[in-house]
Amino acid sequence: MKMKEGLLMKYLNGNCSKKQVAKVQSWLAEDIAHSNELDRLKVVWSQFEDLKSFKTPNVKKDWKTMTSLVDIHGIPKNDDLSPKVVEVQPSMKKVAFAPKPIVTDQVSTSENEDISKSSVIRSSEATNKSKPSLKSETIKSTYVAGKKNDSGIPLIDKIVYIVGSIIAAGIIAFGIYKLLNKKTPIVEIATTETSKEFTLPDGSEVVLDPFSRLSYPRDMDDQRRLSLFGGGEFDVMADTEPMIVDFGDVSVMTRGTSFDLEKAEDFVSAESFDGKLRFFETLNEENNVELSEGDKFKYVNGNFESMILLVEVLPELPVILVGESIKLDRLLDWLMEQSGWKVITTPSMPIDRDHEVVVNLDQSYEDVLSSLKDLMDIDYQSAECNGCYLIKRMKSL
Amino acid sequence: MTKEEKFESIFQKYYTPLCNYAYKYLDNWDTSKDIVRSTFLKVWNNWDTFSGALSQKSYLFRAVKNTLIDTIRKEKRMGISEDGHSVLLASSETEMDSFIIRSEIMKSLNKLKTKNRKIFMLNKIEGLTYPEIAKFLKISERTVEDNMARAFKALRKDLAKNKNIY
Repeated sequence: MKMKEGLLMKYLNGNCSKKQVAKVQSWLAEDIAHSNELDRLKVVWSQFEDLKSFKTPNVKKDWKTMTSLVDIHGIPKNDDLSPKVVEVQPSMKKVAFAPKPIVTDQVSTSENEDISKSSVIRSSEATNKSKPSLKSETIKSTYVAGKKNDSGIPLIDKIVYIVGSIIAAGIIAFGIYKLLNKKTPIVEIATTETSKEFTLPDGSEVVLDPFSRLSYPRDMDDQRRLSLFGGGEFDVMADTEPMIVDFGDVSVMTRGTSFDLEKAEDFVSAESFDGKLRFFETLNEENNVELSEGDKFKYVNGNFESMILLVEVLPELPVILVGESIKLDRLLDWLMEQSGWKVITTPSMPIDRDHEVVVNLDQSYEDVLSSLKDLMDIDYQSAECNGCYLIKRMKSL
Repeated sequence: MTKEEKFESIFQKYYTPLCNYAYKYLDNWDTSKDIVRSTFLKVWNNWDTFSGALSQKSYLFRAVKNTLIDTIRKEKRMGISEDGHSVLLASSETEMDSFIIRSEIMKSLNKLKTKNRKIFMLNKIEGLTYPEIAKFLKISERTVEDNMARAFKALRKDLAKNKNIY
């Protein structure tokens, strides 16, 4: 026996009738796996009340913080969480480019002495500056310029330091340039006859429409810019870094909402399901429109046009204005409220029962309205906006 | 699995429940996270001891609990009552299990489609009835029912394969 989700949920909520309880119990008796599953679900169910106060940290971000504190390839140097931990990591020492403090003891001490010939110098510890070190390594060096400078550092060393510093600065600048111009690998996902559901690296979810293609950077930490051909539904993970989806000549931008993008023959459209969405011309961002929850706009011939006209019940008058994109169930709700009829959307129900009517949801609005006209005592007419109808209740109930 | 991978996997699994456990007693989210991170740092420092422990979950729980007790004792700045302190001292690993289950439920809920999740959470977490949700979201009750059933189906499927819960 197949257990219906609704019934099982009712059972877990304790809202079942005796008949329904009996049905669940016979399902439980069928297989031990069923009662095991129910036991597990009861455990889950018992936790829902406490989920209200449950907080979800950004594990990905906190893991990054963690790895910055721990030298993951070796033993951590400090168990203190303060930033100084980073300072003592060997890797940081490697990037210190300060020249080694080599102090040389000149064999000759005369200030104006010509030292163009080969000289012998000794490196020594700074503290032994004035004394020749017995342990120090003897280095032979050829002086080109041959003059000792004012600070006591031979010119050749100074030149080496300068050149070294320039090279180091060059390396750092190159590194910064490479970092700023880092090209993240691009991932591309394409669909054929069926849609595809997947999760982006930032945790956002996508349902890509059939015959569509989506490109996105493999690493979305710094940039969340995607390119879409075709259509798809997005559930964007909230982040301070906005997500931009380029979509032909237009783009949409959000910091975390769910929306749908569609490509029709002569226009493209964006619909926001539950938050703010900026819909703009990619090359002219000033031409834009802000979408709120439930809004749907199309971009056609350089203009943004609303595709949804929310139900507007005019005060005092039993009139309703609906647009082509309004959800049919909202229309039916209103009609039920106005007429007292119960609207059944299950096709198997008979049509001729008192105060019940079956509506096929695949029909156009006009067909729906036509089928309801006499039953509900309503009248309708096309309104000014494209695909809109003005519906009027003919007599009060 | 390398040591680093094991460490990451343990972090991913226990970080959220441990933070919530600490938060219950500290009522300061940032400090709670700091305490848990410092515990993980200690784990890394004492990896051999940790990996040799009979139960890694118990080890982590005890380590966070001890750090919490120390923090409260030393700093006395959390404003925790004596009652709260004694509750913390008496807290057992079972409590940690509840946080693990909640963490896994949240993960499963986050995998649901936005609309299903929203409706399911309004009902199960916020406690709204179907008519209240319908009114709030301006949708029909039937849509609420459909979404609840779809959410439950997906949740049931996802939780069935989750070995961290049972």
